[in-house]
Amino acid sequence: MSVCRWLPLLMLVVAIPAASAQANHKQPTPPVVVSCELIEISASSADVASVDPALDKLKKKFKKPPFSSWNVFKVLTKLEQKLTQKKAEKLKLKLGQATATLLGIVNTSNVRLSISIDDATGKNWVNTTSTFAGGDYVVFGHSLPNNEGHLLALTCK
Amino acid sequence: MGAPNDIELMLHADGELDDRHAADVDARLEREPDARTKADALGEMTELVRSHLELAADDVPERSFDAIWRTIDRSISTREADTGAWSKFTGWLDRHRGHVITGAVSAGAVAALALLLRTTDEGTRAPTRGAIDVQPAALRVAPEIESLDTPDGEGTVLNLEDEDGHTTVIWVSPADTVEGI
Repeated sequence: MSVCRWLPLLMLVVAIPAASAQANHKQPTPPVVVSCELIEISASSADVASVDPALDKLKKKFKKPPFSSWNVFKVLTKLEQKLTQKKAEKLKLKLGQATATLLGIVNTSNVRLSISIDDATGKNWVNTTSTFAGGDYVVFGHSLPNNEGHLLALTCK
Repeated sequence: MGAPNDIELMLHADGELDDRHAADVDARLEREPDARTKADALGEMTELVRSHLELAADDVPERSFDAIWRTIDRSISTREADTGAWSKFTGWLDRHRGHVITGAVSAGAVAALALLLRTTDEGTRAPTRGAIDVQPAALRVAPEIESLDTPDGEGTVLNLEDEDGHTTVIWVSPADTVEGI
């Protein structure tokens, strides 16, 4: 049989591995990114209660302990931050700073992240790793002198 | 001289005798009626054969001659053009056009199939970039605190659940005031 009769087969032998390599070629996986919002809040007590309009979504929670000991809630800082998986992001606060690291997305609707928060003197007061649903809030809080509170509300979507 | 013999008659009928010999034969034919009859018969036969050959030549179709000339031209031009590598390549392609087309079509089909499979694979891959799915509050699962470290105090975790979803409170108190919460 002439060599030329094998030409179609030869072309297939070349084409199949090439096409297969193309099919198996995986695009580099884009990094996982979520958009988070961090709100720094000061809590205090006054004769007239007031809640910053930007805190409407948390207003109801402020009527429950441990927030109910205050009636004035003001936004100190509001940060919109995109968190990339395994990349620590430093977030500058009015009273200190926070470092947030997205660890991943669980079941497409939950965020797993770690956060570390320092006070205004640079002293760390909380480190935590948590998993929570998109749209839910995690609120970190501690008391300040003069019967004031310092809160950080974190939500992601 | 006597009557011309048959050879002379045939040469005369075919016009192959020189002028002097032909005139001599003509003169003798005038005197010999039998020989003249034979010469006339030979002439008719010669004319008949010539006519037949002319008709046969006319029967060959003109296109047959064209095909013959084309073949001759092609063989001449092929010999002239066979010197370059490109002409050798194109000549090879001409000779194996069927195999080349079959191979190309097969390879193309395989490539198209692979492309289709790859597209399908990409289409079904879960999105890994961008926003997470924010589910309705009622469907959200309770938050999970995997680790909690509060260097200067005690940490308390509260879960406030309402129609807006879960709010996890991580409250850090100085160690001596934990009981107050």
